[in-house]
Amino acid sequence: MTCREELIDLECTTYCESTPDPDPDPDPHPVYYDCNGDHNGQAHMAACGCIGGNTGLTNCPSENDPCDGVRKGNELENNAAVNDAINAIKDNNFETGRKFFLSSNTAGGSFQLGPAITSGSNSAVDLSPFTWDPSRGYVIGHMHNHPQGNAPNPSDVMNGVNLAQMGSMPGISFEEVNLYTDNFAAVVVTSNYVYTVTIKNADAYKAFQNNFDQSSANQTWQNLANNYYTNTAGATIQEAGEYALLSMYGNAINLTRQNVNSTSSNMQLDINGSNKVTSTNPC
Amino acid sequence: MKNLILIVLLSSFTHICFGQKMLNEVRLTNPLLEEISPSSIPDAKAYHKEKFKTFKGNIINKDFKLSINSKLYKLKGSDDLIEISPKQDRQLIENWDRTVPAIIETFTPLSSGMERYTENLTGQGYKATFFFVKDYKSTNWNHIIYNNVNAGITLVILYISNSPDNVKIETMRNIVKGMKFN
Repeated sequence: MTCREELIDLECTTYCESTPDPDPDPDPHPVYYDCNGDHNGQAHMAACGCIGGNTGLTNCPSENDPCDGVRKGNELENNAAVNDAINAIKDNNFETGRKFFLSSNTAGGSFQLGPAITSGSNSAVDLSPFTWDPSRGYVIGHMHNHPQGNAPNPSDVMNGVNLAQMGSMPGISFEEVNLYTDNFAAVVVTSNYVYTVTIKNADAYKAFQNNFDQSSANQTWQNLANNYYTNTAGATIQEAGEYALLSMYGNAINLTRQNVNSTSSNMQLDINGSNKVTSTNPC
Repeated sequence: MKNLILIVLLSSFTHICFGQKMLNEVRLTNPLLEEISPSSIPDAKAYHKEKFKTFKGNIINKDFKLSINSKLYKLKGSDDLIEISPKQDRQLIENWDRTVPAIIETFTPLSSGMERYTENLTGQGYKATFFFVKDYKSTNWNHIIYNNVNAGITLVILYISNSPDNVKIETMRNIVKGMKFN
């Protein structure tokens, strides 16, 4: 028995009728409309909205822009407060971090730098919780230093608001998730370099973050870094860490690097066809 | 042809600058180590599961054949493996004290509840640092970064063991002290 409700003259009436079971002649091509409203279309929902099919978008807009990572890194580090914070922590012996906030959950919100959080450890700082609500703030990213000078590791990349949770919460709109993925940045500062991680492919990032296990990710990272460092003549340990990170998450993130005392000079890091780390400016 | 000459010249220049030799340019001996062929262990993970019946830590697979400049050894009287790789890294040679901590952080990243053991050794013409995550809370990999000024060589040594931490520490000390170059 199936029942349906029909709105007739603003009164809801329930009709019930027997359901033929099983369907003697199921339609092999049921009517389906994709998120673009196209009959049997191929469009699908991604983090930035409806893409594919007849939308004219094959990827989220920022994912098509090779300059996206460098531009965001330069913009962020040209912010006077962020630049001051970088200079304040670059030579710290203990890890010190700050969170990045937006003043509101809409596109017009202003960027704000949170207070310094110091760990007392030279290899870890806890910047959690990463919140997205009006009382505790809209966290859009984070920064911290690596006193030992190593490149970003998997935790540095995956720490942040959990995208899967964010997307499934009824009070959080699709535009807010999009706002977050478009603006997220994780910054790692050493005495020589400033690394910036931004999201290249929100769906891939979300999948990595959802399945993230710090211990196993660290083991994969150290294995890749070890092999690169020992087998690549002249490679630095930072380059080995960069290689490991890009091998693991290169399809999901942009990784850029600039010297700690320079401005607007971020370079995009990638792995080339010879399996080596390259740095270029695609802008 | 011009490019070839340039590459040869640059390679020679790099070599002269760093003064760091490859393993095939020295005769390395160590009374604790017995050289074996990398092809004798095609699957490191399977090897360790077979040899270390109750293995500790997480075993990571490694294809020793890919490390073309490295040499593979067994610790005599055990099934422990030691891969010795030469390293030409200007940053490491010129700034040892700042670079070794970055190597330690990269090769032994810590998660909650993990602790690291680190020890520095110096001797006649050499300095070394060895380190690992205590109690096999990560992998069964242990590392030694070694530099011998007299021999003009820098090495990254991967030591894969199943021994208790205190035994590993003593073994790693002895490996470092036993390194000789002719």
